[in-house]
Amino acid sequence: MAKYKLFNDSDSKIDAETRPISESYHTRLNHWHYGLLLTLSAAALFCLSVLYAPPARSIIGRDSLKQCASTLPPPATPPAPINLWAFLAVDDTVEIQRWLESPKRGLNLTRGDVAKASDNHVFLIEAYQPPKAAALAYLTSPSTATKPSKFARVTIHHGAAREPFVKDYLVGPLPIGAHTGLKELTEIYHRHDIPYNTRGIILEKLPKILASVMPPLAEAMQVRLLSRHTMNARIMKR
Amino acid sequence: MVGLPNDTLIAGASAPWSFDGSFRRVWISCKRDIGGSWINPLNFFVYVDMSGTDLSQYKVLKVGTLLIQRDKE
Repeated sequence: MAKYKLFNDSDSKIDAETRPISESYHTRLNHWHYGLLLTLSAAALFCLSVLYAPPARSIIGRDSLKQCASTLPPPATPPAPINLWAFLAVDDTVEIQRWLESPKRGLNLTRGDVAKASDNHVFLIEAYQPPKAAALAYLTSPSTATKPSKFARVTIHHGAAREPFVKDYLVGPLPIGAHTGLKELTEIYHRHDIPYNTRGIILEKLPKILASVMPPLAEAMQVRLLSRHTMNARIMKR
Repeated sequence: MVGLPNDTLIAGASAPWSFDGSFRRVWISCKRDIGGSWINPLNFFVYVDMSGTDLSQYKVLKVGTLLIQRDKE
């Protein structure tokens, strides 16, 4: 108790100190703000003048006083205006998909989201990396003349064939135009027939597959989960 | 795990599913469908044959668990 002093001021004084901020207070606040702003901008200007000051030339001699190397990393610049290894943009991928689906290609494609394993469907559309020599030639002297054409690698699951197979194709040059063509990708994958059983799994389709194979196991899985719970309960008790 | 609303498990498939393309068999791993599912495996695996294109022919070949050796008290 002794630590605290009784507050002797009258109620009216307390009211005056705690009433809502008046206009005059606002004006005072604004003046204070301007003062702070001016001080800050003056400080900022001073900092800038220090930062942008030309390096001091020694009065003793030109080479006698050297500056330390900057510890900052040098600014990054791309070696060429176009990134040869850039991913395909979503729009590019969609455009390629449409082009592949056109009846002119004769691929008899079904949309991937509704395709069964026994339908022809596109598994993959991705950027194809240019050959090393072409890439180096472009990086050495970047110009439109040396820029290698852009291609996309497309993997199609030919599920509708009598003997289903997987095939990789090159689509290009991109963007899609009159000269764009579809050819078998033989540059990096030399096996002519990729067996259909080695095709990739589209993860979104896994639940559907499991729904058809798991029901006989349902009871066993319930039992197993139960026993796990029982075990946990036993540990808790202990 | 099978796309039902009351699913409590997440399925994962791991490659390879064949050595020469003569079959397509996948070990399916199960994880609890809760936050941080990757550290909540079920230790229950299903080996599914997915050869060919006919979904009705796909079947479970094996089920299994990993034996975990615990230190004796």
